[in-house]
Amino acid sequence: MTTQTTAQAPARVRLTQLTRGQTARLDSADFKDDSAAHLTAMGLRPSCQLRVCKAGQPCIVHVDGHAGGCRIALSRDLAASLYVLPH
Amino acid sequence: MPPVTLPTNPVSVTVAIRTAALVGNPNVGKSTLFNTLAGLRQKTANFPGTTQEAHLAQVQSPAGPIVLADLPGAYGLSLNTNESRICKGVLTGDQSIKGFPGGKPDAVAIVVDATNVPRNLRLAGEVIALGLPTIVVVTMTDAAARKGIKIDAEKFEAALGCPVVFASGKTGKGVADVLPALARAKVAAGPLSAAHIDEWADAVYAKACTAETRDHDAVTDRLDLAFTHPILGVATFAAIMTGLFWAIFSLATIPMDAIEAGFGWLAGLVSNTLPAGAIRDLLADGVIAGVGGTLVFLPQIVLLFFLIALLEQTGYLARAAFVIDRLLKPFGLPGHAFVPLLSGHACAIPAIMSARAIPDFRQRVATILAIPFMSCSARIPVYVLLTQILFPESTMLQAVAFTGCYVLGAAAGLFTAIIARRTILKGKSPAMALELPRYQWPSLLGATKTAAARGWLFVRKAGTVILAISVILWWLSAYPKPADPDDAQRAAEVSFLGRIGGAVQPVFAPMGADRQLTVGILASFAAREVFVSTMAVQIAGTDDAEGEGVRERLTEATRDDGTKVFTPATSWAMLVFFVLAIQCLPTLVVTAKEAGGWKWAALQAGWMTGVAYVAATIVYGVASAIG
Repeated sequence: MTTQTTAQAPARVRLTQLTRGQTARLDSADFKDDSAAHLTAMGLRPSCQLRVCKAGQPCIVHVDGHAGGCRIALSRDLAASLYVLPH
Repeated sequence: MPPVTLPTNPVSVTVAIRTAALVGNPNVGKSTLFNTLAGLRQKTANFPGTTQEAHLAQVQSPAGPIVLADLPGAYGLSLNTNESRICKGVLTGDQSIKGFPGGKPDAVAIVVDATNVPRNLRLAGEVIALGLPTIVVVTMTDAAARKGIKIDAEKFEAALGCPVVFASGKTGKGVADVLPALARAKVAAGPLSAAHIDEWADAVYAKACTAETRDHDAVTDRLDLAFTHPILGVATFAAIMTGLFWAIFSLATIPMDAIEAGFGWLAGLVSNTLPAGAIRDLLADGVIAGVGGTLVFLPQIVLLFFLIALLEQTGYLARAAFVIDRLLKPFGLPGHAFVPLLSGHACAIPAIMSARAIPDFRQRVATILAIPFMSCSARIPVYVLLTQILFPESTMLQAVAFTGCYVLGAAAGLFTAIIARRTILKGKSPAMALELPRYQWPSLLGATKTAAARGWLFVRKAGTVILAISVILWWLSAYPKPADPDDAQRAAEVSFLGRIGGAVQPVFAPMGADRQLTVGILASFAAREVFVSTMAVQIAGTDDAEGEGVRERLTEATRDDGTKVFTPATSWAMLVFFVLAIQCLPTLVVTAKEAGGWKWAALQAGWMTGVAYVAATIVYGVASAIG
């Protein structure tokens, strides 16, 4: 996953910095355990589109897998470990 | 343009399908599909060496009978979770299932949720790569159609390289096509490697699926906001749980009274029709009393599981888990532990069984170790007796002491959880990430099936393990007979249990127990409520423990040396002992099964008895010193 940003590209922020209704693309994750594999398998794969349904604890995101997708609730710690590129 | 080329030459197989496994993500309607396919012919088995349950059923396909296994819902085959390891183990032939013919299954049916195809295809890709004859069953097509998602069956089949069936377990539509399709299962090529799974899934999706609209579910957003709100969410949770437990405690009393009356009638019938003797006593006092005393909790168990199944199906419980997670986190327990802990106040057995919902092993076992400290309904008779002896003049103080017992039990349970999580079950708790299933109306039929299956497991246990224990205890307390068989007090003294009580008494002496109290403690090891009737039999010479006179006589009862049996110090010590001690054999049996081994049951028995003994001894010492 790229961490490089250019002047035009949106700045990479933590998922916890987004507010309700904001959409973003998942950029990278900062995990020291096997949470990453689990979240990817649940649908939070690199570059997936997210919409924040609820900010705070828990942080609820709708993951857009092309269409349909799924809704995932994350504890604040997990959400803070995910970096996203807001739209 | 799809980034990878999809295989076009699936390998046909001609192997007869005798065994098949259903795999899929959680919440995709897999178990509903299995229930519809299997009907009432299913049975529950364990994956040896694990705590996960396997559901098996023999189903009739056009090509002959097939043993179908419903594997636990998993997001992937290589994740560090029980479900993941079990699915992979079964599909590769490394994990056996009791009752499932050995080796890998002959075919696998991958259940895919039509509303979330790309995510579901990740697991499908992993399964297909194992090289088993495969079919794909697409569920939730109605929900997908509402969201504007269309799946072209022919293109999907071509892209996947195996037969595709559209079926809904809920409505039954298309389910009849699943078993014939298994006979046509094919070994497909799947993704090139684990690294290419996402590309493969995207390519399959792009070939076969189209979506007209984007999913923005405002109602779900609003419900989620309310249910996970720090104040509103907790209030909603409290209201729902109050309703749940009101139902369990109040509605269940009607069938419970009926069961009690039924067994009472049966015992009366046996006593009146059979001639006096060992057979009559064995049936009336051993078999009927023991099994009846256990089966009386059946309505609570069935109702608890029925209501939890209903709640689970609505999609609410996943939200509630987050609300409560914050409160339980300091004790090393997850939000999922709340319902089991609260259920423990009705009966530890269904509570421990419901701890299955906790995904992390360490957290699950810590919860199982904490549950039996919650004051279950079987402790109530003992609390009533001892608080009345302690405060005969003040119902107010009785109520305070009664509430204190509940607080002490809950505190000891949470203390146990912290200790366990910091020592034997040490390890970082996984941060919570849960898929929130869509909200839906619960299915009464589905919840009834779940409750019936749980109830049946309990009945089977009552008819085997509990029956055997009851008979042994009866025998120990009934033999040998005294010279005068009508002298109940003398009978309690000379019986094996009475003699054991005399021998063991020094052990319980530090907490103020004499021979008679020791017999009461020993007899109630298998079931704590036996304490009241055992004490009544020994002291008052009658087994009518419910009568007002008996309670008064117990209060005035004296030891062999003429001092009172129930001094304030002894009563406090006994009360604390019964709050904290395990005193329930069925609980230990269930712990061994659910935690995955008798070592956990032994630990639970040792720890609870030890804590109870030490606490009761301290209380006795302090209370004696104060006078």
